[in-house]
Amino acid sequence: MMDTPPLRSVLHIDDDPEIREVVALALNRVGGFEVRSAPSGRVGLDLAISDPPDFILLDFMMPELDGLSVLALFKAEPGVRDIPVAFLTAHADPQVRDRMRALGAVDVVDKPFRAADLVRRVEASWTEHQQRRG
Amino acid sequence: MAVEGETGVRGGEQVASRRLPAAVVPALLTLLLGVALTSFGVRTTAMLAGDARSDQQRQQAEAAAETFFLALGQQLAEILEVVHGVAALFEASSVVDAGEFATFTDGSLERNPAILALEYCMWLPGPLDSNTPPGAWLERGGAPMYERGHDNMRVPLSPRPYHTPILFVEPRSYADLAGLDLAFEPKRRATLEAARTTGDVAITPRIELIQGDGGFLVVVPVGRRLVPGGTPQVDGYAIGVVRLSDVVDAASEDLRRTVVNAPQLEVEARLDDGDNSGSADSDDDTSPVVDAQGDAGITEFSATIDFGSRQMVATARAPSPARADYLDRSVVLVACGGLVLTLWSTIWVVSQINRREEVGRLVDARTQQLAASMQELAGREAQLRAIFETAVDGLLLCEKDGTIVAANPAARRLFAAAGETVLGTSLGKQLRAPLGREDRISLSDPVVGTRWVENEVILADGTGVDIELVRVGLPYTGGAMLDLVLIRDIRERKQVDRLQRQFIAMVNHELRTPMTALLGALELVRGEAVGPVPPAVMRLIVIASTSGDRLVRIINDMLDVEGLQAGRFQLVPDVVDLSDIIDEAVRANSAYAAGGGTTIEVDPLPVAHVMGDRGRLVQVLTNLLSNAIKFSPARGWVTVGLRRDGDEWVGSVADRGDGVSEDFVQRLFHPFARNDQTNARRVGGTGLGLFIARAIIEGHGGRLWYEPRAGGGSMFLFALRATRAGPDMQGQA
Repeated sequence: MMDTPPLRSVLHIDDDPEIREVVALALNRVGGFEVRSAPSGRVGLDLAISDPPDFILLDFMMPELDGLSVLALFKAEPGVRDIPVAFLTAHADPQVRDRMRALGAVDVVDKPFRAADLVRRVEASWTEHQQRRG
Repeated sequence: MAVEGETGVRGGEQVASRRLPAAVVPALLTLLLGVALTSFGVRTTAMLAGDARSDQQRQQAEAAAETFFLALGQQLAEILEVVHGVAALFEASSVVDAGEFATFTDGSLERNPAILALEYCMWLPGPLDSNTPPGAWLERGGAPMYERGHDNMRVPLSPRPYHTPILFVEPRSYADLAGLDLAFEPKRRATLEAARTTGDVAITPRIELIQGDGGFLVVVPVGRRLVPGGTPQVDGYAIGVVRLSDVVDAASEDLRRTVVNAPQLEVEARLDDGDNSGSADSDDDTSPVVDAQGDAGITEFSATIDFGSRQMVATARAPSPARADYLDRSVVLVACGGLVLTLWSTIWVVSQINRREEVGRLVDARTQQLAASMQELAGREAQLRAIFETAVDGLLLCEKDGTIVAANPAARRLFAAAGETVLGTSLGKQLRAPLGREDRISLSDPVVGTRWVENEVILADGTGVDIELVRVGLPYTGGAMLDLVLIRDIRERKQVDRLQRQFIAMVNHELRTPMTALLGALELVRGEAVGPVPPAVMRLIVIASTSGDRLVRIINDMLDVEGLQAGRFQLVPDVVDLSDIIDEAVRANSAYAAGGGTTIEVDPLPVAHVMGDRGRLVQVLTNLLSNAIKFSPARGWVTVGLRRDGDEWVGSVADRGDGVSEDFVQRLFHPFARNDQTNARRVGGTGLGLFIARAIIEGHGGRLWYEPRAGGGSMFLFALRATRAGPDMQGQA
């Protein structure tokens, strides 16, 4: 098995500032990742295009563009379409979860979460994604 | 049938029409024909008989009667002539002897009427001639020619009774004539006196004769004229006794002798009574009947015959021939045929009328039954129509090709834009599948079944609606089938459903989001990610974190229950290893168990592949373990096991707590089930965990149940069907 490159940077997009802060703390202090946060999909897309991260965590229920729409924008952008995206959502509707996966999401992590669990899920998804690419 | 056809239209004429069925009409015509033929036969027979008599027999009868009357007249004339001859003889000589006689006859005996009269009157041994000695005619072989009767009356004895006897009565002996009633019977005495006075022949009324037949007397006065041209002196009377039967016999004999095949005539002859009519003697004036026949004659002839001063009235009747001789047999056959036809027709008509009446009674009974049935059917139809018209769901009756033949108000409301024009259109035109989803719905030929199928469709006016649809085949008349299509407008329900889901999603999001920040922050502090935490603060952080976890579980359980009840509980099955799931659940509960001093004892776990939703199965095991830990005594033991049982994997979680009371076992898996008799209040919980766990296991096709643990405590078991899909399974199986 070839070595998987380490996960270095994560972009988190969520309209809730408290969630953004807690997630940033958890991923940075527990996982040791470099974390950038964006309050909306458009800002997140700009950040991803200007400095592509290794992994993207995306909220679903957001004003203006919801998570599915933002994911579609990522998948339409050549420079960022291959970046693995996982949803971090409180939305429990199975049909919505199906559509998330159908559009290319690598994982769907429920809110609320434990910090250790979040880091583990993100690392697992990153590793799986890299292996699939490799 | 025309009569019956009219029966239904003309209700008032039903009875009359049935009582005179059309079938009777030909029978009545046959009856009339039979009567006509019978009447024709009889009348024709009578006519033919009459004609035959008139044409064939009348002429014969007329000829016979004419001949008979002529002969009768001649007989009477001869009698008169004889009597006159005898009178002349006695007039010439009061005493007749052979010499006188010879002189008198002048040798011409044969032609002399007097001689002929004697021949008639006297019985002579032979013809008189000139050689007959005088007085010889008075003697006959020495035998007395006269027989002395009453007193001085001399009566010649004649062997020929039909000959007219002639008497000579001397006037001096009137008294001697008593035997003939000439002297004492007033009418006959008057006749005698008339003859004496006038010197002419007189004829008496009818008298009874000794030999039985009726007759009359011809009285001729006998006298000598003392002075020529003067009144003769009557010396006596020549009296001829005439028997009518003799006269008629002679005439009949003459008739039979002269007319060939003469019909037998029934003759009645009577003597004209003249001035003496009305006497007692004339009452019985019926002449003898000669060769009378039984049948009465139908043709009658009469004649009046004059002789002397009197008349004889004779009537001859030709008896009718035998009736059969006159009947034409063919006519008889026609008449008989007509009679038979009449009888047959009458019997047939009567039988038909009786039968018709019986049929009528049956028809009446059947009609009443039919009316009752139709009334019942009408009632049922009214009920069905009421149901059809008032049903909340749309009801359509469609032919096999989808053509709508009936629609109830609810269906027409659904197709409001179309209204009545719904009828005759096709179901596929009224309900179309949305673009791109034609594969999900085929309304032009929907599957016939009994299960409601939810579909989003486009109406004819372009409106999109959510409906539920079920199509049921209905047997129709003549073996045909119609489809009953039930359509339920679920737009309102779907709208409510959408609002509910939006609400749940909002609540879920709005609760989880702050809980996420809260629990995340507490966990970071508790893990000293942001720096050391004093022990007292740490204890408070743990309390806050545990309560937060509990709150999240309640939120999750409530959302799950809502999803189960709304039918939105979906599983994402994959091949999973139950041993991994148990390990994960044990790890998740290890901290919780350690907090209560409970030890989780896990038996050696085999690799156990099943098809399942990993997250949901972990949820089940986590719930069972947390329950076991919750209800275990301090420093208790919780045992987790996994074993193979046939084609199933059976997992178990047992505790050594107080167990479950018998009455609570019945409600153990109900939502919000809490046992208030135990320490549930103390341990808390929503009572949703077991309800959700059983729903998840049953959603996998498995079973979840409770058993009391041997030695005390509770044991929850679940069984899931093993699968061979996993590579590890092959080694285990």
